[in-house]
Amino acid sequence: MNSPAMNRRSAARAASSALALAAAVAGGAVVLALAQAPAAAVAQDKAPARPDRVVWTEGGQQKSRADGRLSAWDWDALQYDAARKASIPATDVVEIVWGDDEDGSYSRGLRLLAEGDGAGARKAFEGSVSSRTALPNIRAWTDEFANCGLGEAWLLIGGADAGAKAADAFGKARAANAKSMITDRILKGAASAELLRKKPDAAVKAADDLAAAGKAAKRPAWELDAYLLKARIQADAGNWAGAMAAFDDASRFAESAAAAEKNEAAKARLRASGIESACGKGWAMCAKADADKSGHDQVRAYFDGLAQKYGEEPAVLGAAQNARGKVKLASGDAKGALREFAKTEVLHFRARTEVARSLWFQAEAMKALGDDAGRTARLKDLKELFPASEFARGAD
Amino acid sequence: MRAPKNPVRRFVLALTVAAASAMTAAPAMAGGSDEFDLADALSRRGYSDLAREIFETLINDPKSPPARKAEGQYGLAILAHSDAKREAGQRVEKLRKPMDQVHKLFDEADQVFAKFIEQNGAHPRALEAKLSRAKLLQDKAEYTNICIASGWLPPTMSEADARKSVAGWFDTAIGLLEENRKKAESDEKKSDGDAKLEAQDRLAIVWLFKFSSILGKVQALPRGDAGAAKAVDDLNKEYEDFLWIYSGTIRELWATKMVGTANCAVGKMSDGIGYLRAVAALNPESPEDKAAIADVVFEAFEEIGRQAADTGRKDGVDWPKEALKDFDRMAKNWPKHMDSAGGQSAALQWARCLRAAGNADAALAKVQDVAKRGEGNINVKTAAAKALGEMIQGGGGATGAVDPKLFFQVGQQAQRDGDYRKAISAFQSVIAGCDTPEQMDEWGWKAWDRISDCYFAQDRFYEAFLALDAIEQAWRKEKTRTALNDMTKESGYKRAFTLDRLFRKTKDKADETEAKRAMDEFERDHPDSDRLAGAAERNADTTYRDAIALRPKDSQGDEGVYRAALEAAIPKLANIDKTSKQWDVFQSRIADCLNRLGRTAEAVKMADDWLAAPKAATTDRAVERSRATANAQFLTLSIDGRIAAAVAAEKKGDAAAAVAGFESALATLAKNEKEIREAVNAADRLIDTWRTECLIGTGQVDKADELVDGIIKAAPDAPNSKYLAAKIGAALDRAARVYKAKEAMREFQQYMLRAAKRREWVLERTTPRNPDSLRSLGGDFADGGDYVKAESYLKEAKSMYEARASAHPAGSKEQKEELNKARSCTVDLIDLLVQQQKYDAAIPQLEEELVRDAKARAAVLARLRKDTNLTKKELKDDLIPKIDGTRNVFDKLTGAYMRAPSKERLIAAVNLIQIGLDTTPNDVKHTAPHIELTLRHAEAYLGLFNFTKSPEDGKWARAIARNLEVTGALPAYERELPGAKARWEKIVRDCDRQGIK
Repeated sequence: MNSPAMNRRSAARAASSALALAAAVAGGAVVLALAQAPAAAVAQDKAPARPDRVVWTEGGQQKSRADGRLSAWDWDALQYDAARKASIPATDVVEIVWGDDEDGSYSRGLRLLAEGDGAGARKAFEGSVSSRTALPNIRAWTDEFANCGLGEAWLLIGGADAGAKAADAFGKARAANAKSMITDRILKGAASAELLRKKPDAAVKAADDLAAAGKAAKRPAWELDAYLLKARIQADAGNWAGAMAAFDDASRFAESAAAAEKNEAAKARLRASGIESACGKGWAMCAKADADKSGHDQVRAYFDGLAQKYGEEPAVLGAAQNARGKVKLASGDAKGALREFAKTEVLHFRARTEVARSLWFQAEAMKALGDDAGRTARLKDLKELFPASEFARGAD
Repeated sequence: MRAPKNPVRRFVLALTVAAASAMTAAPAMAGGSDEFDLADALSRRGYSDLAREIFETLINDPKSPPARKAEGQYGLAILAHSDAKREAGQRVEKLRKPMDQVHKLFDEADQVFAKFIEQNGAHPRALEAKLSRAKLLQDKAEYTNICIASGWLPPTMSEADARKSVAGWFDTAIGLLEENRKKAESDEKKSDGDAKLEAQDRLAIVWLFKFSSILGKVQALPRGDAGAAKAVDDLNKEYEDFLWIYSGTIRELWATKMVGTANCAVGKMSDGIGYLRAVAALNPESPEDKAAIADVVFEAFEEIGRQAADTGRKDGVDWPKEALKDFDRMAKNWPKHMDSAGGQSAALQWARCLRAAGNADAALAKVQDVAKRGEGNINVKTAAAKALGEMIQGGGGATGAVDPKLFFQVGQQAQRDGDYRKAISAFQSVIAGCDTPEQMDEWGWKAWDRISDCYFAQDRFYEAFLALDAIEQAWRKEKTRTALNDMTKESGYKRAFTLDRLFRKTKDKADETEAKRAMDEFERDHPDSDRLAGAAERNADTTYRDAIALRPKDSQGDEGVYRAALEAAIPKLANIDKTSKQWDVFQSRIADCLNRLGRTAEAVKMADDWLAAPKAATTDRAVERSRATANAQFLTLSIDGRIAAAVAAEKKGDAAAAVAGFESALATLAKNEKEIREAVNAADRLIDTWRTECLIGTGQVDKADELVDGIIKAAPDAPNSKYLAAKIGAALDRAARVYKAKEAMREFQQYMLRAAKRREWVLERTTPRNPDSLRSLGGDFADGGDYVKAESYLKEAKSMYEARASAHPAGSKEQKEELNKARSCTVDLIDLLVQQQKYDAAIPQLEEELVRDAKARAAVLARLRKDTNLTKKELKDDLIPKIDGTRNVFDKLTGAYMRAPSKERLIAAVNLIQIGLDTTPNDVKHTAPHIELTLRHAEAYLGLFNFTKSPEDGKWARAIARNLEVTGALPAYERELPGAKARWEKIVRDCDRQGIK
């Protein structure tokens, strides 16, 4: 057997260039990766023809090409030009590494976005966007992809100014390719930017555009996302009627998409989204009832109707149970409400969102009963058991 | 090589095995004694006692030169190190010693090693001793790491401090090992042939020990520590030197693994993982080679996974995702990795990486696989259980394909640990993982039952009921299901019982109705259940519970109603037939009722008879439970009842019966103590309380005080500590008064001081502070002779009374009461001066209290001091209206006058006492204060006679004494004021001696 030391010494002798090198040694798979030497940034009339690397799934397997370049890309397919041309369905694409990301600013931007470094990502994407001006031979993908990344970086930075800049970046991305394969990112980002600028109507328009794009692109997931996005925008703005309508649209859409879907896993996901949307409508109704200080009985009736429709779905049963509690709480029976919420926690534990909601409601009920210690205990449970839930954020 | 345990220990164990074999195979160290070598060899084979004998002979033999004696000490230190290691390896909680005790064992051995090294630098074993010391420091450091990970650090030590110590010990070990390494290296260079190979073996072992110490130090230092980074840089360089000799051997692999881990520990992930991958990538074709390197390869995989999962995404690299590629390789190159503990441990880290990469389902499946396959290895089993626990962080239990049995075990352990949230999550996972009715029968319903227990333990009775109701509702839908049927015979009862507990907490009538209905339903549905109680039994039970709930508490409740309810419960309890499964517990309840009614003799007799009676064997669980409950109650009653009877005798004044009662209780306690501790809840506290009460009752106050002293020191916050401290305080006070009556003032003071200290201890733990208690405590300290504390407490009481007074409207009755109390404190403070015989300081202050108005005071005092011929007019017009002092002031001032007498003071004393006697209300005549004044009157006249020699003054003294004799008041007076007769006799004697007729 070769020892690691022997492997390293022999590999060092073999390495003679500054190119990326992977060496396999007999009997093992010792992979020695020497540092990839950065390609020199060359200001020339013609950029060196570095290949694009595309990774996609086909028949359950992951495949990749790095011997050519993409000549076209949209939400239908990518055209890969090489000795052997290929058309890759856009829905199968996992990753694209652009060959003319000369200074690595785009990939750096993506990395920094993933790490949550908005300021760093902004700088990187700005560099990527402006590289097209410096090097006109760089293809138009920067206008689309780098601007989208720039918009997302501004959203991370946050603040009113950032909203305007993000909206601008997303606008440019959209203009660069109306059939972009990343239309969902662009339009969701645009909606978020408009919300940052406190323009909910513009945000709703972006959501509507996403729905239209989803239809055109035959991407049901985009359409569903659009309806849910719209519903949340409306709910955040206190437009309960608008939110309910949007949740209704989402629910109906999900059901029909699920019915048409052949893939079982996708079908189950769509069905789950439909149920989530239906429950979302109910909670929008509840929020309206809270604001109006009436109408909780209708909320309860709505959820009971859902339970009849969806049967033993934990999310629905949990929501219906919580709704019963809300009716009692609204009528001043905090003690009775507490017991109803406890039923959600104990009996419908599979419905995590509803259990988190029930803990939140239990805290409200305890507040109404003047039980500070109980309230604190419930909020502590909520934060520790469901730290990522919106209710835990509310508990802070 | 036997599969080793946790990573560092694995490595050290492997080295220890190799080192032991290398060192025992090597020839004895030149220059050391043969006896030492023999003893050393014996100890390695487990013959510690024989080894100890030899080492002690080396020390104690008068012919042994100092070097051999030192060798003997060194040998004993080696044995001590082994003892310390053994204690450090103890994992059974009940047998495990606290960390500081184990450290002490290490330190004792370490001190001997250090001393031997320091004092015997030239000894042939000096270098060996350094190696031994290095190994001891490593063992101590590893043990401390385990303590940190297991939460065994003492409260006084923070984790940061512990890690700092660990780094320090490893650092010292590195120095000691380096000396050994240099010696071994020098030997290796000088030798050849077989000797060279042996020298290389020794060098390798020492070198690898050194690497492991460097790794240990680096891991203990905080992230970013410059010392750690330097240590790794040096390690990397030294590693290259190591490779020159050991490249191509398994030692290289161990060294590479350690170097890789060390680099990761300082954040050099790429380099570190690179080293680890170099080992993990090995896949020899020969099965023998493969078997030889399997352990180190699996450890490398495990370390890759651990580092990747701990690091997550960093510097643009998704390390968990990267590590998954390595594990794919592991599966390919080592398809049977799950057959070994090393492979299983690596697989657990694989699962962590899967979870970090977002594939929770695959992670869960892998952990469950390891948990099942690794059940035979305690370390893998423990690690797998911990990993399963991590899968259920967050509410709702685990998602994915859950093995119900595994998660039931996780839930059970969490429940035992008191981590109810985790337990509930685990049991929810069990329920979610039961895909078939059969699985629900085997695990699911039990899981619901356990969820109920967890909520019940947190006093969340409604939630506990809901969990049991889930079982009940399922059974109602499928009554023929055997498992559910069996389950609900118990859970149905628990459901009703839990509702009953809910009602007792909420006192809500609706809950009471539900509880009763649930019990009715249970009786109807499960007539054959062990738990079933018939109507008569339920009725008797309810009557009994209702009766004891009526017990008056905090001045609330009607004693008469309570007693009547108890009386009503007794016949119902007695009516229960002997064939009832609950008969025993109802018998104990009858005895309890009798005890509460004060019919303690009957209660104790019932208890003694039941405890002594033989019990027929039974396998019936209901009968067993009933007997256990009755046993606990009767054992308690056998002591409680005796004590209650003794206390009652004490109150009646029958001291002999009281002492006999307490002695009987003590004897019964001694006889049944072991059983009581096993059967009765909170037995420790009860036994302490009983024993204290009985010792006090039998006059063994000092013994009782010693017992209470131990109790309150060990557990100052225990529920009964304050009660016991107060009790012994009162007992010491009574003992002090007995000494006072005998005029044994020194003992009186000693006991009063002890009593005061106990009461002070109670007061310090009582909030809010009460000025009455403070005043009383001040008086106790004064009696105990601690005037500093007495003054402090009296001043505090006075200011509290004054503060209370200011809170009431001016001139109100309440304000006057508080101000009077404040004044009493003033007088008590002055009395401290009197007690310290500082009369000249005390008297003017008392005179101020006597007559507050300064102008009037001079005139009053002048008259009081003039002569003893006060007229009624003077009393009525000039003196009484101007005197503000309370009886307390009178008492203290006249007492001070008499203790610091002068003619004028005694005249004033006589006059004041006369005023006091004349103004005494009829209803308090012939009580202790009045008797005191009478006797003092005579004593004052006698005192005055000593100054004036006036027959008139003497005559008055005699007259008072004669009057007492003639009226026959003396016996009664003696009862009211113990010591009165002795004082009268003294007055008479003094009159006789002075010739006063």
